[in-house]
Amino acid sequence: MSTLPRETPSTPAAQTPKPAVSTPTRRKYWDALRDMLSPERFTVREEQFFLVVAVMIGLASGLSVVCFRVCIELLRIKLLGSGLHPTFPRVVLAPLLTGLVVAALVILFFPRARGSGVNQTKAALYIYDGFIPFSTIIGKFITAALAIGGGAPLGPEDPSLQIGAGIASAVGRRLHMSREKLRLIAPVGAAAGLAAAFNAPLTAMLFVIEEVIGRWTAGILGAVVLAAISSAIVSRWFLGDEPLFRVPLYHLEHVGELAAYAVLGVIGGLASILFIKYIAWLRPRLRRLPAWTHWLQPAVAGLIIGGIGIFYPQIMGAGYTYIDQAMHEQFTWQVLLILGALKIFGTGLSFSSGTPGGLFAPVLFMGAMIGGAVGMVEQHLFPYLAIPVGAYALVGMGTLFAGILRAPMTSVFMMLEVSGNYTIIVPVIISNAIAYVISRSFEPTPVFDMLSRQDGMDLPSLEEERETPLLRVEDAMRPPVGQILSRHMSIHKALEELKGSAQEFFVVGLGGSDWRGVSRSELLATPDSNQPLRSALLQQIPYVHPDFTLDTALRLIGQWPVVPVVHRADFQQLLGVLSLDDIVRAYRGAGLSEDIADEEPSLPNAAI
Amino acid sequence: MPEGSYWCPSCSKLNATPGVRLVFIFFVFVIIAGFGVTKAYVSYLRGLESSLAHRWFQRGEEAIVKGYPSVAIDDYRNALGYDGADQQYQLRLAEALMKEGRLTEARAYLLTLWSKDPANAELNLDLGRVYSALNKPELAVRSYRAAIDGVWSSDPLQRRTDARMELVQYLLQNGDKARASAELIAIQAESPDDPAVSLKVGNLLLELGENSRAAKSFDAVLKESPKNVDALSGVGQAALGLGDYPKAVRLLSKADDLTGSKPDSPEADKLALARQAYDADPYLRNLTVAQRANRVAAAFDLAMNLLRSCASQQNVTLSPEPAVAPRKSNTALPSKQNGYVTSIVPQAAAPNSLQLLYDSAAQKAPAARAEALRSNPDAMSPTMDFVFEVMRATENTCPPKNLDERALQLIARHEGESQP
Repeated sequence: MSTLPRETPSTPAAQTPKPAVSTPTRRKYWDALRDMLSPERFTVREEQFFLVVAVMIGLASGLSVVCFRVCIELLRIKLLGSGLHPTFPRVVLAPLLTGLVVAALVILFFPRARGSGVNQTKAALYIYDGFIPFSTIIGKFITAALAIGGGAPLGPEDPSLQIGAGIASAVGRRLHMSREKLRLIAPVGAAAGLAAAFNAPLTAMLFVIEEVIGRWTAGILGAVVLAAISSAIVSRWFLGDEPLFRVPLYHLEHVGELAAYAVLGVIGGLASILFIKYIAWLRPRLRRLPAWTHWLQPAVAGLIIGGIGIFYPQIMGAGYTYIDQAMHEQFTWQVLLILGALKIFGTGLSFSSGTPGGLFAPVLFMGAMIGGAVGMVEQHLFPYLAIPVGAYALVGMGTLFAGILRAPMTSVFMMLEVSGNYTIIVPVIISNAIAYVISRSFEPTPVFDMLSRQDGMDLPSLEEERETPLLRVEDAMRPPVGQILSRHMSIHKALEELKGSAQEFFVVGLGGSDWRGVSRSELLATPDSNQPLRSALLQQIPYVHPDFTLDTALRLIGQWPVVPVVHRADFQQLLGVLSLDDIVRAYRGAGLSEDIADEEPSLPNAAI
Repeated sequence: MPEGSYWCPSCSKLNATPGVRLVFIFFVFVIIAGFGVTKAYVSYLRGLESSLAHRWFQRGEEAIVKGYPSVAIDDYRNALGYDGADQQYQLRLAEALMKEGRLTEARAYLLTLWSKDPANAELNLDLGRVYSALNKPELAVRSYRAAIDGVWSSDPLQRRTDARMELVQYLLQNGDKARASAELIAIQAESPDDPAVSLKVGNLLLELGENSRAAKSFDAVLKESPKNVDALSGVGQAALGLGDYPKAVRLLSKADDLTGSKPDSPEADKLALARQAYDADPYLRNLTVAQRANRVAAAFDLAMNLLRSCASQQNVTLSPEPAVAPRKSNTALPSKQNGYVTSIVPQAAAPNSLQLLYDSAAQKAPAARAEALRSNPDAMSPTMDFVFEVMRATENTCPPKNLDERALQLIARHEGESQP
């Protein structure tokens, strides 16, 4: 075997032909790339990666929802024809046949595609650790597109919310995210889906936070914002910046107009109750029918909708075109009222029959029609107010949104985002507040919570949680009578003072934020009782402030029998003390009636 | 491993295995591919919507041409359903709604368009028409003015003039003669060389009684077309209104000759009136005392005849006895016999204005004869004043029918305007 010749000065390297890229250079780049992609180098924290994934989910949800909306529109054109008013027999056959197909698909292949999608997303969050099967996304896409495209008076927003949530859930699972992050990623996707459907990211974020998650934390808020915005950007890129409906000019000219909107709030509240009660009554009854009827219920609902559609085709589908027309005074008040009433009937029927589809668009439709009708009547009765009917239709949408879906903050911001007009905010707030109060007074359970309970799920009611006051330390603390010792006194003096006290643990302030605790037994065990208290063995204890929630206090109190409650500006100013028993008593007391709660003595501030 | 900075499989944090990284990269590629698929899908829909919008719009245009605005409304709405941002569709829908008389709906669309382009003259013109139909005069005038001052897409001068003309017609309908006159003057200033416009303006000024301004308009036409019948007729009428009867006769004769001197043509009628006024006007210069007295006497006789015929039309009997002034006491006078009231006798009815004028005429008649006027020329003026008073009193109830009465009315109007 010959050996390779050694390179000698007589055989210089220049004589050896060089490769196009030198091997050491290529290897250097390859090593750098591998180094960059190695786990050791890729040390992004999960929170940061979560935000990146939120953007990706936003993009993916946006694309999916755009395709969803396009699909609905194409199906509508193919099934109902290109005119706004479908001709006979399409107007009857399309919802009937699509109802049959949709029922079969839902029963056989996609059982979780039933319903609006909002409750299903909440269920994923609270019951299934953020799990939404991918098949549900496919099923929701197909069945909701068929149903809405075929003329069912339902909306695409709620299904879009679920599609976004489903995409997020799938991505989170594939990326092996932590359980905590998996629970949160579904709402992130939900916000993205809704933002693309509404073309309104702010509204989508607020709705998801207000209705699905129920809390504001910096981590989730950041992800929701990123996802919603990236989704909305995708949606606008493909479908344009144009709003779903053109809003007429409005500005407040006369204070009397506000009273007019208050009337709208009352009527909107009553209409909200009507719709909620109607669904609450109808849906369980239809579900209790024999199982074989579930194959036909969407078709029968479609047939009825089609029959109505012969005379009033405006109630079919989402109805955004007709909302636009209502805002532009294209209907008489009688027709507006009829359309509002028929939409209540049709949407309740379709939804209760199990047809997949959402409630957002129908609620906006009802609000626009009822608001427009009220506006026209008021314009006739009080012509000097001169309020454009379109403004009433706009405010009406927000009113019923607040009254039925019980998302008042989302409703206000939605009106702002859709109209781009800040002068509308005062009428919207007035009308929303009145409708919300009326609706809640007569029907305390929000519609989504009611639906989830009908489905046998007990999901947390975020509205009820919002209405439940948060308990704080000041609600539980008591005066530090017989439980505070001065650091200057001797142990002997302290023991003398404590003879009459039944307490066993005492707090001592040593200055600044230094609070110590000592038990009676420790004091008794001290050999030299003449030494000052501060030199005794005192254990440092945590302190709380009066505005702390009891949840925070509970985490801080640990094993300590008692902790001091101190002033935020002066840590040595003792306002009270708090023990575990005090906390438990406060929670129990929160469930008492107001009368009993009023008997609790108020806690005066105690300064040392 | 430092906590939190590395992925830890056992502590339920994200596991950065190669599989996870591959999934992430795959997800990125799916999104990129998704953009392509979505773009194709959306492009297909946009193409379909665009063609549907165009098709429905064309159907709407055809329906409008055929005179079916209600059908066109549905077609335009369908077009808007596919392209809601198209302003032409919105504008055409608004115009179709206007044609159909659905003004409130039209207004809503126009206002939405106007909010985006407030200087658009066509929009403002449509709004002016809508407001005028909705009987909102101030808003209508405001919109018309905005149209006049706005930006026109084509032929701004002509269209501005047309818009002003339309405003003038509207103001005249609303009885706002002062503003209408101002607008006509503005049109005159802007379009001095347009014969069609000048003719229209001249005729409208004649309607408003602005005879000298009307004459200027017609003169502008005659400068370019000396044989323009309408202009000749117009300027003749203006001269008639100004009391320049010789000029009126001259110009109206020309117009009459140009139309072939047809006896029943408007020009012939105006010419006859001008001639009659010329022959009857006692205020013409170069008349002798006798000629003037004859004319005054003739006018007086005409006024008397007019009084008689007007009374006859109103079924009023003119009594030759002077009317008694009514007493201011109770209307009924009791008749007594043997101290007892036996009957109530109603007082005679109050005489009407015709009777009073007739009485006055009867008193003036002797002094209004030609011979008396010749010997007392100072009585001519009060006699003519009386004649004018009769003309004013009978103008509304018994408008003049024959040529003589019309000529006398013309003279009365002219003299009424020229007197301080």
